[in-house]
Amino acid sequence: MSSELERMLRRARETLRDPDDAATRRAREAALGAVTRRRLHLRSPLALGVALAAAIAVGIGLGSLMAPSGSAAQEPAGIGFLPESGWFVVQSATEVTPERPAHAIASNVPLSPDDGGSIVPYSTLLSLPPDGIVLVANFTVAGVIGYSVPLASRKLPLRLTEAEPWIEYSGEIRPARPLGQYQLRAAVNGYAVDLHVYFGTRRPSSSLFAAAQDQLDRLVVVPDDVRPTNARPSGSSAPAMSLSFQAETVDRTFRCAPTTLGGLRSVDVQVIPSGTREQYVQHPSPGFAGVASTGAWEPRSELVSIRARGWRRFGTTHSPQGVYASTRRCGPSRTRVPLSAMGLPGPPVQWEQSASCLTGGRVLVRVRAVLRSPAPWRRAGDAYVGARSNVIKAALAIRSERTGKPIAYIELDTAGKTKLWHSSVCT
Amino acid sequence: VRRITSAPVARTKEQKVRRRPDTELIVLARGGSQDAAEVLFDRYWTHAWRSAYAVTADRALADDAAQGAITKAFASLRRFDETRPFGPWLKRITVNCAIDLLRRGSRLEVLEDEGTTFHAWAVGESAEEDLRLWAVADAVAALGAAKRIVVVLHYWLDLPLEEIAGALGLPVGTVASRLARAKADLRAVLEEEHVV
Repeated sequence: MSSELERMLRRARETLRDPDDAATRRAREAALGAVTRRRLHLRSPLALGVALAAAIAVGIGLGSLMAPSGSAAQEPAGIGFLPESGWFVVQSATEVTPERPAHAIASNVPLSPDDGGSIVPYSTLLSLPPDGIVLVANFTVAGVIGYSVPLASRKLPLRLTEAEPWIEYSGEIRPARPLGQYQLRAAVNGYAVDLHVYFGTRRPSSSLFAAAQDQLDRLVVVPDDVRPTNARPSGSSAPAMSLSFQAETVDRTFRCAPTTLGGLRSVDVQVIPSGTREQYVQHPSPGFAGVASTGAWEPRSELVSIRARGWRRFGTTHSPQGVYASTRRCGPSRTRVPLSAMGLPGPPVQWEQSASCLTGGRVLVRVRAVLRSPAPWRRAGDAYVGARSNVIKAALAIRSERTGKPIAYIELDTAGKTKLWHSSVCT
Repeated sequence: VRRITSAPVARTKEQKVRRRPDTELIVLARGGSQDAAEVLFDRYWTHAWRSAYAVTADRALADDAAQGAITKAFASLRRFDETRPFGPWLKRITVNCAIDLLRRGSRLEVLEDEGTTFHAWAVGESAEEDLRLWAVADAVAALGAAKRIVVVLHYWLDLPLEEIAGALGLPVGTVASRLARAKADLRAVLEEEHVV
């Protein structure tokens, strides 16, 4: 047993993550700069001065890097941007009230100390490099500020493609080297969100857009009604948000192989809104969304699923709320799958629905769920892994691995209501 | 014509540099070769970062520790004895930087229950085997800093107990008993999950 444990322990190092591109880029510059500085130092007193100046600059850079990433990355977020390596996130307040709006900033470059508390981080923007991205989200209670155009109600994640390529009431911040500036205003979960996105270049590349969208996917606006009641301010009817619980977002993509049925591979996508009495199990659903191998009515046919519903997964009627994936049919994937209904005909189905979709092979399934509390991703039963925690809301996108075409997109909201978009390959 | 012919020549030169052993790269980098320094960086950066991440269990801290370590190593290339292996030297610097960073933040004893996930979600040959390894990595992450650091230094970074004791400033006996307790904890968790 001991040798088996030690063998597994040694092998587990193979699973360690890799550094991300931003960290690698910063380290490369610092390391190569260190060799250069050393060479200059040896050649002349003048070079020594230059080397010292560069060293001081790098030192200041390192100092500013360490502060935000080391502290902000540990903060929970009920409003604002969830932390992610390579990004610096700050938020101004833990509550939004009619009298006191809040704002949150996410940046892939260190925020300038001069911008402390500023709604627009001017100093950071003035020195934003071409691959720099800054997102600023302002939050107010809906209806407090009268916008010239009524705000459209939107679900998270907000889509950068829906943003306007300009910012109202703002000139060009850096006329000599113009920034790319985008704005999106929306009513989200009872709050007005005014989002400003800045790129270090006027014409950002598609990869920069994708990076900004990835961070925008991590914008959290937890509605007032899911906040713990003991955290509400007493004697006040004003909506307020709190950070008194630690919301956590699970965002995973899987590559799944559905079982074959008559020589064909297909999947069932299924949504069951909260309160619906399920056909085969007479219990009201807490709200369920999932994808399973078609026709496999036996346990363990589910591939990826959200919320509680155990009879297909564990052969029992109840299982804890959470996000689950089959270990027998699915493996993790790094392929980028957009969480969007784009390319699928609407309007979405908003009642209980199950559709069978011919896939012609493996499918990519991305699931993104905001959990009430952090939950480790661990084994659940003998054929699943899962993060067990109350699910505040979630989305799930399914694509064909071979063609890349969308098959279905599902949303499950805080009230347990569901929406399903599916393609014509589903019946 | 020059443009057409120069690209393969440049590629060949780069390939030649990439094939050079560490010893030659170090000598070239000292002499001012940016290419050699870059190849050396590419060869060791991921190892350094993973070592820092294993110790800190925090991506942001790992970024800082690994960057600090590789910068320190590159700045000290002139003093480095190139007949000795570069990798273990960098690993030691990285481990020290990571431990220093944890100490500075007083996080050496309190990093527990942070929901650390060590493992990457790369597609492997066998999902079942991947899952077993992830379960082990998750169990290591959940140990708490004091035990976790001893485990990762010994089993992931292959440091002998004496060296771990030196890095942590602890008696060797303390390190050995901490490692034994950590293994007992891991065994209990992993047996319950039918991993071992």
